[in-house]
Amino acid sequence: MNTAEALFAILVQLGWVAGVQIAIWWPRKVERGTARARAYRAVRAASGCLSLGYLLFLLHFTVSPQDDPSPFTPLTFLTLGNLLLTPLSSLARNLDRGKRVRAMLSGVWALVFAACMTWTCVFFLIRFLTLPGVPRLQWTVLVAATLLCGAAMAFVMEAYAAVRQPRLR
Amino acid sequence: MIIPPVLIGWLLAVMVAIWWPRSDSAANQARTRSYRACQYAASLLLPGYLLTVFAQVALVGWELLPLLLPILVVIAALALTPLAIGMLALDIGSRPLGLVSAVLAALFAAGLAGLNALNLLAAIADIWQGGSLIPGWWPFVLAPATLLCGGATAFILETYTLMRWPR
Repeated sequence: MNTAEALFAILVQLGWVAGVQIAIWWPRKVERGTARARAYRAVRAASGCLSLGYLLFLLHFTVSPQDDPSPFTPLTFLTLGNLLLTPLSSLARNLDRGKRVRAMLSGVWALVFAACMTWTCVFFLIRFLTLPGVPRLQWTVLVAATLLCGAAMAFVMEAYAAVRQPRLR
Repeated sequence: MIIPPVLIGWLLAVMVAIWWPRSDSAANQARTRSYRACQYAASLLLPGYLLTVFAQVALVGWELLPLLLPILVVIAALALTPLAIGMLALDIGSRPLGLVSAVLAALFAAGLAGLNALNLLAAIADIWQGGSLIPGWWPFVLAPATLLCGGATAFILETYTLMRWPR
């Protein structure tokens, strides 16, 4: 990969990150207490929990540094984090445009991603059970990551339920 | 290895709790729809899981099946148990229990859908690169398994919605 290609890849990545974050966190003028307002709030809560859970999951690696990390590791982790949040941003954007069916499909997609993240944390926890002398800090961080990803799942379901309302205003 | 009777009993109890015929109530249509969505979810999740198991066991070798059977039965029972608890929660009218069981059911169904999707991508990448690690028929088994588990996830979301805001 030459310098121009690397720059282009970084720009695309940054655009993707910004697009996803703006779509999720952009403040919308919605009447309080409506199903739509609940859906936006649930999407934001799910995104917050999932981002934090993912960051804690990554943090548990740094607590016990892996030998020889590749220079592409940060880029891979950034891409994976963006991939996790993309269905949530798609849900919020489809809600803006009033495309209910697409928003519901995004909800299913977001739920699959959040569940995958939760299972990854659970499997790492199970792996820890078989390893002797795992530091307590690493346990705590991973348990917190698992709980946060589980909470993100619940918020995604809440967002879906709000979008599914027949009187979505 | 023989499957312990406790496991068979567990699986049977779960199946009975899910597919026991409930009377349709005109007064509470949301509950009737919840029952139906929950049963649809289980009906999709079970064949999805069986296809996943078929693909995985065929890859590692059928001679290991007797050894793996108890574990596979435990996983099947574990995956269906939240749906059974959801049905029982609807029977007794406990909304919080129903909501928690729906989240757990979604964890299993969506996790299985994600696992199948990842395996499907790996199989397609292997075929694309002309590799011989994964048999050519794998994607044809994993694609319907992914769709079935994804469908089960959608029906679980539907059940959650009906429990959350009955209409």
